[in-house]
Formats: sequence, C-alpha cells, structure tokens
Amino acid sequence: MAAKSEKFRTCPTTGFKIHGPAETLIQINAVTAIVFLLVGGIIGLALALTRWQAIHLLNDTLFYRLLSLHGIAMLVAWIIFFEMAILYFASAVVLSARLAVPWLGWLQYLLMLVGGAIVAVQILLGNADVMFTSYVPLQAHHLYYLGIILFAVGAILGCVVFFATVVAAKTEGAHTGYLPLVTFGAAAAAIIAIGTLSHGAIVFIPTWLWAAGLVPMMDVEVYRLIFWGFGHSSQQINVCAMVAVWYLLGTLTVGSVPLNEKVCRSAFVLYILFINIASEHHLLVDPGLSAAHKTWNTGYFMHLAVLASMIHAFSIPAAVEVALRKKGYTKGAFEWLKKAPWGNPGWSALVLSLIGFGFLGGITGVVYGTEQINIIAHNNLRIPGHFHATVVCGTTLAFMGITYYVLPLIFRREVAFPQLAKIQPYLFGIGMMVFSTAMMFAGGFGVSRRSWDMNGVESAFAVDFGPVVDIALAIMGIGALVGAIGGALYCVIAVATLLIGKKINA
Amino acid sequence: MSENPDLAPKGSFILIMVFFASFVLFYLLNWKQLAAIWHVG
Repeated sequence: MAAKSEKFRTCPTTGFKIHGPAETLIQINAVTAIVFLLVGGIIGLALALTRWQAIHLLNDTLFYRLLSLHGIAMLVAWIIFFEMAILYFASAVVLSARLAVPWLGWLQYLLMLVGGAIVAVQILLGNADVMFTSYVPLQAHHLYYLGIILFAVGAILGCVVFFATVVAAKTEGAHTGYLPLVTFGAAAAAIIAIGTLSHGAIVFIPTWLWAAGLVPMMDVEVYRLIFWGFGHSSQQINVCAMVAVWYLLGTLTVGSVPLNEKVCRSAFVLYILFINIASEHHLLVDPGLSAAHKTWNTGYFMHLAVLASMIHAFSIPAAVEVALRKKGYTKGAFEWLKKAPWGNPGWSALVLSLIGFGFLGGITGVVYGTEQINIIAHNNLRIPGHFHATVVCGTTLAFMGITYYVLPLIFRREVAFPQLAKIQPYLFGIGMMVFSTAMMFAGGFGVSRRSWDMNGVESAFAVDFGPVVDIALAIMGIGALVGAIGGALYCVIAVATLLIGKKINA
Repeated sequence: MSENPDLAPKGSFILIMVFFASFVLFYLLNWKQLAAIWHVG
C-alpha cells in the first residue's frame, strides 16, 4: 500500500490527487499531439499558400500528397492524441483516482504512434495519394490501411483505460456520487469514440486486405457509408471533448458552475444518440441511397444533436455570466463581458472557440447539411471552410486554452512567455476565423475544394471565377498566415515551458 | 437559475438571440441562392 500511495502527489492549487502513471501518459500523449499539430500546421500553411492563386506555392503532386498528410496529421493524430490526454485527465486526475491498467495506456500510445508513423511515411513515400477519405477504388499501399487500423485500435484501448479508471474510482471509493460534468462529457466522447473507431476498423480491415490482394473488390457505396461512420464521427468525438473542455475552462477561468447540470448531461446523451447520424450529410449527393434515408437522417435525427449544441451554447455563456455577475459585475446586460479576464489565454480561447464553433462552424454546418442546400455546397470550398471553423477555431483553440492549465498542473512548470501567451489565442483564433470565412465566401462562387488547378486550366472546361474570388483567396491566405503565427506561438510556448519553464514544487 | 434579478443571465440571452438571428439569416440566404441557381418549373 505504501508503494501505491507514493505514486500519488497532491496538486497544491486544485487539491487533485494525481497518479504518477496517469501524469506520465497525459504528458506523453499531449506532447505527441503538439508535434503532430506542428507538422500538420506547417503543411497547412503551405497548402493555403498554394490555394492563394498569386502564390501557388506547391506543385500538383506535392499539393495532393501533403493535403492527404495534413488531413491525417490534424483531423486524426493531433486531435485524438490530445483527446487521449483529456480522457486520462478527466478520469484519473479529476476523480483523484489511480489510472487502471497503465500498461494498456502504454499500449494505446505505442499503437497510435506506430500506426500514425506508418501512415505518414506511406504518404510521404508517395504510396498513398488517396486524400483523407481514401475513397475506393483509389488504392493506397496496404501498409497505409494497416497504419490507420493500428491507430484506431490504440485509440479504442485508450477509451477502455478511461472506463476502467472510472469503474476503479467508484469501486475503490476514490470517487462517490455522480460523475463530475467534465468526466461525464469525456465519457460521452469515449462512447462515441468506440463506435467511431469500430467503424474505422470495419471499413479499413477489408480495404487493407483488398490492397494486399487478398480480397477481390470493394463496394464503393458501402465503403463510403461506413467510412463516414469513422471519418465524420471522429469529428463528433472532438465536439463532445471540446464541450467538456469548455465547461472545464469556464470553471477554471471564472469559477462558473452549470446552471442546470441535468440539462447539460441530457445534452451529452443527445450527442451519444444522434450526433453520428450527422455523418450522413456526406452522402447527400450519393445516388445509392434513397431520398427518404437522406431526409430522415439529415432533416430530422441530425437536429436532435443540433439541439444538444444549442443547449450547451446557452448553458456555457449563461454559467460564466452568472459567475461574473456574482463577482459584482451586474451593470446592464454586458458589464460582466467587459470585465471578463481577457488577458487570460484560457478565457480568450474559450470565448473565441465558442464564437468560431457556434457562429461560423455550427450555423454553416447545419445549413450545408440540409439536403436541398447541400447540392450548391457539396465539394466546394464552403465545406473545408465550415470544418476549419469547427475543428480549428473550435476544438483546436479550446484544446490550446486548456493547455495553459495542463502545463502547470501536469507538467509542473510555469507557462513560459506569459505575455505571448496572452495574445496567442487572439492571433490563432482571429486568423483562422478570417481564413474559414474567406474560404466559405470563395466556395459560394463554386470554387472546388481539394483542387490544385481550380480554374481547370489543363481541362476541357476552363472556368474563370473573376477577381472577387482571387481577393477572397488572398484574404484566406492572409488569415492562414496570421493563424499560423498563432499556432507557432502555441508550440513555442508549450515547448519552452517544458524546457525552460520555472519548476513548480508540489 | 438564481432568483436574484442582478444575477439573471440577460447578456447571454441577448447573445443567443443574435446567434438565432444569424442562423435564420444565413439559412434564408442559402435558400435564396439555391433558388437563383436552380430554377424549378
């Protein structure tokens, strides 16, 4: 027992009892996530500077190859490695419990790292120029699919460790009563993750065998249907984890408490039940599915998940407003907002993430996911504009905000360059909002996504979009540059904190 | 929700109404564009 208790330390600020193996796994997953963010971010900037027609940086081969890697590095590796850190934090740290089966946590990390490395190497070798969706009959080297399978299995193991830790915390008495809202939200994310990653395994195992020559054919319609159970649903894990982080940031920055926790928990349950159905909007122009199927999924069920987002969209601002009003900022409707801690990067990241996700990503997602409207948005720049607003302005910025609390709590270092940390969320958030908005604006003119030659100069059907689109794409590029500076600052601050940040003694 | 009127989240309510208005406006603009591009009848 003595040896077991020695593995815990108590945080002097929060009072959390932190289990040593959990702390190590949180650290290594978070650091790996940031490395992938750095790689994916540099590639993202190069891609944006290629879509900026006046620069057109990369050649066509490199553009499509790096676009594939950008999707995997950002949408899968950065986000899911960071989510593993969040799952261990929301279970072992928030519940002040021991991390159950740490060796399984290490296996999670190794499988994800090896899988991610295999995928990246195959793309860079030119063996997998199939983009993020890898739609069959496009075929990559079989190792590419094996890498994704290993990554997905690793992530599932991380979810198993999370649930095992929660069960251990309850049965061993480390935590009694209801789960804290943050842990509840993380549990919802983990449930969605298991369904999502299972879809990944179901679709990629036969595709892997097909690429290896052991299966004669793949059905393209079935592939697309199951792929999006993985491809889009993986972003729904992000939504769930991001909302959990929003609640945590509200508490950490201004001491907010949800006004009605039961309603918030119900919203998470709505996510579990209905958010994966939103994946169907990727198939709205597919001829193989019936109109009734599409309408039921994207016209009815999807809106029950949207309802959950609406609940959180009111619950979180209302909770932080009440917390600030309790501090005496009660004049008029917005004194609380004026007096909010705008110099705290956790707060500014929370607010910008809410605005970016809600106003830019959320509204556009629901509208573009409407069956009729989808026909004018499908596969043009509106779609990446929408999901950069959700995943970058929303999820990534929220994860950046929580990092400023994870660094002192888990890494026991004071945040380096605190003045730069104050402006980092603004640079990143505003830059990426400009980027996303300009991208959607250009898409409104029909500019296609994933296209190195948007004017079709080398095709029989050349299109001249005119100067308005050129200006929009230039603004998009400027937004990407500003956002990249903010992203680079985040990486510099995080790495500098680890290397030269002042140690905090527990 | 607190019964103290000073603590009522009035500002959030206004912000949410702005959000809904933006939603409706964007939805209408997209239907309008669809109607302009894709004539029916």
